[in-house]
Amino acid sequence: MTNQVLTLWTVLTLAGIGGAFSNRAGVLNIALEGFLLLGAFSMTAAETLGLGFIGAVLFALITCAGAGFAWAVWSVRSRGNIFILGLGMNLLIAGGVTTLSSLLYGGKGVVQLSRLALHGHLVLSPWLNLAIVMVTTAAAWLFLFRTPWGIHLRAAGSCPGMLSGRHINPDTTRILALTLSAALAGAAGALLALRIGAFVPNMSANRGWIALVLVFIGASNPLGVAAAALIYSCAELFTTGIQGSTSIPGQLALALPYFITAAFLVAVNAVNRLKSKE
Amino acid sequence: MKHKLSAIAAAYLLILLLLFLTAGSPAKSVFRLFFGPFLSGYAFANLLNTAGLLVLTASGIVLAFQSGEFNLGGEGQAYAGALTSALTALVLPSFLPGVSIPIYLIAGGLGGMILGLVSGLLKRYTGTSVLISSYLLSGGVIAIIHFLVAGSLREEASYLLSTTPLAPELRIPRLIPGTNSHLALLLVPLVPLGLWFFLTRTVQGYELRLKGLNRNFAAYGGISTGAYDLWPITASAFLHGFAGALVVGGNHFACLQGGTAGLGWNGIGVALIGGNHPLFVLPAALFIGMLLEGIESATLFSRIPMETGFLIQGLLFLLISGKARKHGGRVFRRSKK
Repeated sequence: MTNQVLTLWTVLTLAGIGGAFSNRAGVLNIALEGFLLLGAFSMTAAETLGLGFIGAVLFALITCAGAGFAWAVWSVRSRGNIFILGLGMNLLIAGGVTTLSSLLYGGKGVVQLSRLALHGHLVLSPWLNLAIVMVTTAAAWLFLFRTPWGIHLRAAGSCPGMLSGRHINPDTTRILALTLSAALAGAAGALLALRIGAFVPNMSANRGWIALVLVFIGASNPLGVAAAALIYSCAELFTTGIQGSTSIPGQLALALPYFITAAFLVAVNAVNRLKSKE
Repeated sequence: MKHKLSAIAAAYLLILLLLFLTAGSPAKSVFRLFFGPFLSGYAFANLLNTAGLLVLTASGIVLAFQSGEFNLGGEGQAYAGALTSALTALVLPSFLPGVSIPIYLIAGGLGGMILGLVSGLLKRYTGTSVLISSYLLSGGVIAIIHFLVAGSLREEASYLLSTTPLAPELRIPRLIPGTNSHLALLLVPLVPLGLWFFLTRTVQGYELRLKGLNRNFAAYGGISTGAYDLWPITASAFLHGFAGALVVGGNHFACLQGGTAGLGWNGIGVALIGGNHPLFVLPAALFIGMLLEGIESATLFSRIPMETGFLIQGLLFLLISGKARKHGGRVFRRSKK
């Protein structure tokens, strides 16, 4: 139980902080869901192809950062609608991962990690999860609010003219923010696959969308995102735990992230509108 | 225009690559990719059916887009339409098909419309972006319908995950017996034609486009922009729901789990390729229909899974909506002094 909460917390915090970076830079990464899946799949693929554990996780990070970078360059420089471009990336990854999985493994079912038994105890240790959350959150907060690069990143979203005035291209900053956010979501996906010990189709299970909600609830602040992620993880496992894991049908649970995201957005907008009328 | 053609070419290239990697006899598959939809009457009827459905959903996308909104909830709206029409058809009498068929088709449209109406109301009263709310609502509704069709609404006797099938009398009459072509498809081209007339030849259409181009200017000119926030997205969702109902009445004769999948995303693809012009929707739908049916025909005997369709949709989205800009070669540029 504690272990489950910790894993979910880690996954949501990593992806959420990635989303927060992109949101601060003014280009909210809608494709978190896709990058989660890509991270999980590339980690599994690298591991089954013989790379060691650490190598596989690094491979997943590099894959997601690379794919994220290519996508970000295309999206930011083309000035298209970032939401549609993000959805396009989600579709591309969902289709690409299933296609690759069929080509590599001759089916689109579950792909098991081969060496999990050897390293499982290390990876699944709650202390490691805790350490990852703490270090990432602290580092992200320091980066965002205590370094010049963090100021540049935030300025790319709130005041791009200031960056241009200092001869820094806001587009470059946005591309880097999106790449970073793709890598973080990919790391979250890799951890998810490690926890389950396999790649399962649709294993991201809309966690990427929940991470986007947490970005809003946490006001795009890494500390806020981590806190919100902890509360959400406890709440989710509490509800499934209290009702017995079979009574909430899996497919209905899949609808929740969408409705929670929508309800939260509407609430924020309604409050803003009321405030502006006063 | 050029970047749209290159986007389509890229989609074909990707599929060709996959075919060469997986197919037992690549030459045969490649032939099928391009000519499969024309090899038999059955395949050709499928092409007309797919293109017809996409004309409906793409017209909905164009209508919403011209009013300045993006309807990204097409998948859920079409699915909701399919479920509503399938359930309505079950309670309708089968001795008057001429009355019952239009009723359940319209019921399907209304079922999809509810989703659009919610998005429109949220936009009107809270300012929530239609683009986001329509997508999120649709995602949630799809999960719920999946659950219902596999659960309490499932027909026990069927080996598929589907609702109880329609009475044979209530199926839309065929154009060519034994194929997917049916009478209602003949009326489909009227939708983009009517939409074109409405948008370019009526005052309301002018006001709608003006609001889409510049909301503040339209409001300044005395146009009630609130109304145009609300009804175009609602009508767009109606068209999606209607397309879903046509799938039930014309193809599956029940609401299948995932039976309308792709109508929404591909409709957006068609609208993007057609440049959001109602008349260009027709050739664009035929084109995408050929691509989709060609892929289906070519991959029938290969190891490529159905989900490859997502790959193609994603590629088209990325390539068309992110128009490549001409100037600037380097990725990292310093801004101009």
